[in-house]
Order: sequence, then C-alpha cells, then structure tokens
Amino acid sequence: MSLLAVIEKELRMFFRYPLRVISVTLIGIVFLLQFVFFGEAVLGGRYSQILASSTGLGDYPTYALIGYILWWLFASPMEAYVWGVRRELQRGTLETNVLAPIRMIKFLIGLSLGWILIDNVLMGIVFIFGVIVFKIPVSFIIILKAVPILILSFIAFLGFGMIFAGLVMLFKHIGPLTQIFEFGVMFLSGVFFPTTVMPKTVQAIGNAIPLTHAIEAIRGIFIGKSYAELIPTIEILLVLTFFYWLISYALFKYAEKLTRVIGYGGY
Amino acid sequence: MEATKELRALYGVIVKNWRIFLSYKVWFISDIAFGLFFAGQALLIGIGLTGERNSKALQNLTGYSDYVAFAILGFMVLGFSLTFLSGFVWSIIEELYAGTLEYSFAAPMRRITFFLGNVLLRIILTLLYLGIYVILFVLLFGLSLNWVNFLKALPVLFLGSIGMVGVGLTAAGIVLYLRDPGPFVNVLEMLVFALSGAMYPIKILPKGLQYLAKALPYAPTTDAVRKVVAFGYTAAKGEISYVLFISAVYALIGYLVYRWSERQAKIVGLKSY
Repeated sequence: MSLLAVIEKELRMFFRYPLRVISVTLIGIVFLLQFVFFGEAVLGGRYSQILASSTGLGDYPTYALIGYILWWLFASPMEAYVWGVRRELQRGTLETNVLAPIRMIKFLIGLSLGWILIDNVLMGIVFIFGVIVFKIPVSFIIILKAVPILILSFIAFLGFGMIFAGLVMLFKHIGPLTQIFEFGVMFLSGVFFPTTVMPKTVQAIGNAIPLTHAIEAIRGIFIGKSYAELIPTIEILLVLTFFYWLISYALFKYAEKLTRVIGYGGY
Repeated sequence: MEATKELRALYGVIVKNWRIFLSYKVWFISDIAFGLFFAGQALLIGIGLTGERNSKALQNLTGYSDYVAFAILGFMVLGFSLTFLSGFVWSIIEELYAGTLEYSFAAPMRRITFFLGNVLLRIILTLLYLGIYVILFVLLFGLSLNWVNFLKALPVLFLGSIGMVGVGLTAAGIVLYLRDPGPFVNVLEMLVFALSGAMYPIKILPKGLQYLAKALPYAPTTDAVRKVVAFGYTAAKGEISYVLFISAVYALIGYLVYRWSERQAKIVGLKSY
C-alpha cells in the first residue's frame, strides 16, 4: 500500500500541471524529429541498405523510433532516483519521508515506478505520434509480442537505475553527470545508429548496458523474428538484470548505512 | 554620472550571475558534452546510414555535402539563438523561483540593465563555448570550413540576434504573468529547436511548419549563416535581406510587448513563489 501511495503522489504532482505534461511530451517529440529528419535529409529517403545489412532493419524512422523510446524509458528510473531524491532534499521532505513507516528502498522504488508509469504514458504518446507521422508499419501482434520483453527490460532498467539512487545519496548533486551518462548511452547502445560503426572496445562497453539488448530484441520483433531467435539476446538481458540488481542493492545499502551516520545533507 | 551608475549596476548583475555559474561547475562540462554529443550523433548517424562522410541528397537540398559541417553550423547558431531566449526568460524565472524578482526590480537600476546583465554573461559564455566547440570539432570531427567566410558570417548572426532579442523580450513579457513559467519556456525552446533548421533543412518539413519556421528569426538566420559560410555575401543577399526585415519586425514587437507587460505588472503585481 505504501508503495502505491508513493506512486500516486508522484502521478498527482506531475499531472496537476497540464502545461508541464505538454512540455515534456513536446521535448520527446522534438528530439525524435531532429534525428529522424536529419537521417532522412542525409539519406534522401527513409531506407538505408547499409543499416539493413548491419542490423536487419533498414527503415530509419522505425529504427530510430524504437531506439529512442526505449532510451527514454531506460533513463526514466535514473532521472527519478537522481531528481526525485534531490527534489525531496530541496523541499526538505526527504528526512520526513525517511522517518515515515516505509523502508527507504521501497520509497525510492515507488518514486522510480511512478516515473516509469509517467514516462510510459508520455512515450506512448510520442510512439503513436511517430507511428502516424512516419507511417511506421506496426501491428497488434508486434505490440503484443513486445510486451514480455518490455517488462523484462523495465525490470533491468529499474535495477540499473538504482545504482544512481545510491550515488545521489553519497554525492548529492549528480544531475549533470547523470545527463552526460544518459547521452553517452545513446552512443553506446545504438539508439540512432548501429553500434558497428564504432570501435570494438566501445561496442563491448555498450554490450554491458541492458538498453543495448532491449533495443536489439524489440527491433528483432519488429522485423518478424521469433522468440526462439531472440533467446541469446534475452539471456544476456536476464543476466544483466540480475547483475545490476545485485550491484545496485549492495551500493544502496552501503549509501544508506553511511548517510545514517553522516546525514542526508540539505539544499 | 547616471551612465556610470548603470554600468556599475550592470557589472554587479554580471558578477552575481558569474558567481552562481561558478558554484555549479559541472554544468560547464555538461554543456560542452552536449555539443560533442550533438556533433558526434550527426557524424555517426551519417556514417551508419550512408557509409560515407558526404551526402549527395543533402547537397541537393542545401548545397552542403558534408553533413557534419551542416549540423555543426546549425548547432552553433541554435546555441547562440537560445542564449537570448534563455537570458531574458530564465533570468526572470530563476529570480521568481528564488523569490528575489521584486527586490531586483526594486533595485536602483533600470530594468534593461538587469536584463542586459543576465544576457551579457550568457553571451560571453556562449562565445566561449563556441570557441571551444570550434577547436574540438576541428580536432575530433575533422570540421573543415572556409574560415574567412565563417568570420564573414558573424555579422549576419549578430543581425539575426536583434530579432532573437525581440522574441526573448516578448517571451519575458508573457512570463511575468505565468504562475509556473518553466514549462511554457520549455515549450517555447522546443519549438525554436524544431523550427530552427539546426539539424535538418526546413525544406523537408510540412508546408505549414515551413511557413512558421520562416516567420521566426531562427531558421532564416541559420540559412543565411550557412549560405555565407559556403558561398559568401553575394550569393546570400536574399537571405540577409530577409533576416534584416524579420529582425526589425521582432525587435519592434519585443519592445512593445515588454513595455505593455511591464506597465500591466506594475498594476497587477508580479507573481511570487
């Protein structure tokens, strides 16, 4: 119940400012347009043979839309942990929430789940916008097939993002660094271009990020691959999910223990 | 005497903003990283899609075959353009959030001194960023431009910035009346971003959006700057004339809207947080 209350609090606060909802949705749309239009201007169309031979998906708007939507959802828990905790610190409500009869980790997961829900709604709108504007070939079956992979991806993103919850408790103002990291992930995970254009070492770093595999799996579904063909990708995603949950939990516990001694700090 | 007093006040506003900027040094790294991110994406998207550094399709549309140079020039003009919007509007919003706007407006200095102080520091920082970007883009992305024409394009950029100041003043006038102006400004910045032609030629937008883009000073300035850099003043005569016209229009609108809004604010009061 307390988890639901935290989620509800975040949803209520976000949706009570309609202009804020419009502004975030517009940000989502404009960023997508920038890259898709740029790709189309460079290509002189929407289909790239080179992209098709390196990834199996040659239609650039479809390629970019999937990568972009998943990247946004990947960044969502990180943003929630970093800015959510900071917002509470700024408002002076973090200490009160820590004192509430709810475990700190539950509170943070509530914040994160709230923002994943919000971002799912917003990205749903951006996705529909992209599908209509760029005439993306999508069917109900494809969406249905993508759902289990999306759920697994969210669990992985949640665990990965929680590392930042620990970091924000230890270092407080890490917003700009998180932003740099999020932009970096765009390169490493093949959001707007295939990772094969980068050196092998950089590709290896990208393979350690769950987003890379989530994007690959969803793009696979869009080009008609079966679950059986996607098993290697899903296996890596599962391993990474377990690994990042373990790391983030350990880091979070350490940060919690430390901050109980030295305090959370104020803004 | 009056001028000396205003200059001292201007210096005070600049120093205040500089100190605030210095207290969050990581933003400097984040801003530089954003520029690299932008240019890097352009390069890798182009290579990932075409396998080449030049694009025939883009050349047919814009005269530029080097898509990285095309995007970088657009990014630089956009960065400069947003400075004016941000300088005028965010200076009000930040003071509103901090609860110090009334005090700043009540200080013994002209209102325009307060705005100039905010904008000047941002311009200095933007020019500093642009300088760093040029060096980094040349070193990392092999940016190659006609540098004489690049310098020639700067007056065109400054000409366009008169219109951008006008848009900034208009937005600042509206912001005085909003309870939560942050999202409004975000919407405005995103519209500017989408319609600036920074990353793609506005010719590929639907007709309605093309007209809207032409009706703002950003895309015409970007087009004029790109044309001057590639082909010189003579070839860009038409674009420069249009920038001159649109800048004059927005400078007038900005002045009138802000004057009206300020007069109104004196009657109904400023919003506070």
